[in-house]
Amino acid sequence: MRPISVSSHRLRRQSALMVKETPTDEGLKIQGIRKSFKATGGQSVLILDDVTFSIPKNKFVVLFGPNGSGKSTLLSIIAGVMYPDAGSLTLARPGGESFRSDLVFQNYRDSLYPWLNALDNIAFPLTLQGVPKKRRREEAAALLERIGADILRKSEYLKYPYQLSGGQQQLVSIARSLVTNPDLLLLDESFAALDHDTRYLMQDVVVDIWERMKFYVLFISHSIWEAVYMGDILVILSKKPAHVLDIIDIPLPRPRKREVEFSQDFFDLRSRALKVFEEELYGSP
Amino acid sequence: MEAPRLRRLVGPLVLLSIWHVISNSGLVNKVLLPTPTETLLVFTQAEKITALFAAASRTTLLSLSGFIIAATLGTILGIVVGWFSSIYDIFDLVIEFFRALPAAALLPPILLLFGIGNLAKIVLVSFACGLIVLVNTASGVRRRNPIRTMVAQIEGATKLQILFRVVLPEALPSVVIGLRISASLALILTVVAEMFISTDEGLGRRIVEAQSLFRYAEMYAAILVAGGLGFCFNKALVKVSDRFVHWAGK
Repeated sequence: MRPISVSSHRLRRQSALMVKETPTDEGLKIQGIRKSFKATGGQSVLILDDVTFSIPKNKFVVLFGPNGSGKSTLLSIIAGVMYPDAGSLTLARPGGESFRSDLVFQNYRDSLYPWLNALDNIAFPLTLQGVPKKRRREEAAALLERIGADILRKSEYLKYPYQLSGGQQQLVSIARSLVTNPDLLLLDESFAALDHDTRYLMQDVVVDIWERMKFYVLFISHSIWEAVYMGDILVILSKKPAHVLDIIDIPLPRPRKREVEFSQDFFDLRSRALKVFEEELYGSP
Repeated sequence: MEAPRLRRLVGPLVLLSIWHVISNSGLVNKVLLPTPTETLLVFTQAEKITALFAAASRTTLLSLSGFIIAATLGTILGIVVGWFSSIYDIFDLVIEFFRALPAAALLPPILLLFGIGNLAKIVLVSFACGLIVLVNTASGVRRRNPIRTMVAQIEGATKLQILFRVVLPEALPSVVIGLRISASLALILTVVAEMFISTDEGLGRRIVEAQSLFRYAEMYAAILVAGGLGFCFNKALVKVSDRFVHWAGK
């Protein structure tokens, strides 16, 4: 076991992540992550306190927690743009040590490049790797056709972000994260800026993409209903400083249809999660 | 022509009419304010047109040279100042001071240092306009969106890639605003400098000369040409802006 830079052959980004070869795929273990920041005034504020959970292969993991509980900080650490003060990230799986993660931000307006059209936005990571323009556009178009044919039509591929709807822009930003075939996809409240209809649609689109591409996934949601509808495992964080309050298995069958939202199982799971969350926020009833 | 385009002509026509009425009304001495017709008649005389055209070309050439130097140096230095916070901190006050200083006030010392020729004019224009481009470029680079940089970092971009593929395109709208302000200022300063420096026949010189020779119609004609020149400069930069930063602010 040794630290490597994420996808060592092309990325210069260092990460706290270690890769371990094991005969079975044990997934990504997040262990004892601790992180504090210097606040104005000099004293340090503890944001993450001993966060531990794992992301198994073939499970859609959703992270849910109160506002300001450090979810985005945790994501930045897993994505490798920030270092934890303590704790470890270990990926245990068969096969090579090359590993790549990617992050879909909440706000597509901030994260897309307004000077690039949809196709070039998606191909941006390939641009950085020096892939020739024609080939990277072909790859971006092929990916779009696979994951978003209903949302973004071919005639719209060369449009700029400001000419696309919110859902289309978020699809572009998801596609950009997928174009380099990451092993782990992190989504940071990626639907929060979408309207209700589009949000419905994108929930199914993302789960569908995941079912076909089978990357490890960690999805941060601000909605219990969304978390239960999309996830197989729901990780609930406490208030700041965050630790894991509860991990709830969601054994609803897949592929899920929207009807599942009206089932007793769905209702019970949602209530259970809500109870954990509200007890944390308002104390025991 | 459609209605909206016709409507755009109403303003200029109203202005010409007011000019006409005032100069005929006896409110002002008619010698000092010739009618628009008299002024426009200047443009029917071949030798006057040739002279005005030559003057306009000179003025354009001078302001354009200054503008191009300002655009090049201002953008490059603006990137450096904007990218390195320490350099920004060191030069911030100096830059702010010289930017706030009315540039025309620098003409006399520049004449002393660079002589009474075209060099002095170009130095004045490059310096004043360069500062504006610099300040706008630096602020565009500094006010970049941290998320866009983080996206590139996550994708494994090098510092240089972040600079050229993310930060510079992001600063571009701000750079273009600096260029637009500079283009107008370049023309203003060139004309002012020409009024001071009588070494050649620019528009500023024509205006002063026509005034001192009591050829007031010619003076107003030259002013109209200077106005038209400024109008074209600005239009050209709006075109550039629409072409390259159509996405700005959207």
